[in-house]
Amino acid sequence: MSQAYAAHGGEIAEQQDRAKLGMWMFLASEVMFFTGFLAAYVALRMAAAPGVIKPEALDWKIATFNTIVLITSSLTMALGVNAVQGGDIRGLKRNLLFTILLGVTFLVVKGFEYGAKFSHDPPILPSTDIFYGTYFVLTGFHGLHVLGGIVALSLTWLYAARGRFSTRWYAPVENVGLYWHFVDVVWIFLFPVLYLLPA
Amino acid sequence: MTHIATKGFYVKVFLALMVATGITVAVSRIHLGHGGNIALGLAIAVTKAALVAAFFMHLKYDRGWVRVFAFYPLGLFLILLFALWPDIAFRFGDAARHWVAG
Repeated sequence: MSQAYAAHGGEIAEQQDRAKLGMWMFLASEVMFFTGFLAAYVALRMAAAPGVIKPEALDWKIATFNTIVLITSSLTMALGVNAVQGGDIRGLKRNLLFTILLGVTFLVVKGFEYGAKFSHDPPILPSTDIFYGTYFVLTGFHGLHVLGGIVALSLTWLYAARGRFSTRWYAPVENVGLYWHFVDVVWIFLFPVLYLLPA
Repeated sequence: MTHIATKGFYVKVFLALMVATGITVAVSRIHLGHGGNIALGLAIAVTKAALVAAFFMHLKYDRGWVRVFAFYPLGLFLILLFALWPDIAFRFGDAARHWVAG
């Protein structure tokens, strides 16, 4: 495919723009996916009796650490796209690897956070009460998105290693980047809404 | 066409996000009133999200349909949240506060 387009540089640029638009349409649907769960939590906050919403029961320190990890991963992702735009494939691969490692770090830390809840006596589970139900649903689906992003980033790294990308064709890098930044934006909201804001 | 920023610019955006994260944690430890803490926490989150969208996601340099598809779900998001609000605030009133007590 890339050879057919090679004779038509303008078409590559157009195809890249269309691919990007497709990713933004997907992200629009993703916004609505998280809106449903977030709306459930907002409704709960507005309607709940005192004591039902208990952000103080969550570990804001571990969440702050994870916020720093995810924002740093957004920087390495942006630097990766920047590298391929400048034709630096080694820089692209290095930054994709950093982004993957930071994503894995986020999930490991999230694992410890969940572990502390599960090993609590009595165990804190999604079924414990409606507050923990929404907490596990929101952070759980976000965590699954991080996992999906790690898979997509790993495939992008493999393609980069096989020399698929150039300054003229890097749509998959740009699109996995958009997805990764979106997942970061979701966490930027989940962090204060779940862990910091008073009940 | 495609806008290419410098690496230093992305680092500056990153540093701004880090400072904003520090501020949001710091102000959450200070009592500004229930509404004050919530408003400030959300305002900082919106600012951070705008920084990521504008610069990391290049939305500042995108035009046309990309902008349409970036902004229209935000409208739907607000409609959905505001559609819930009167139902809970006016219809259930105090009863709602006990409705999910258990």
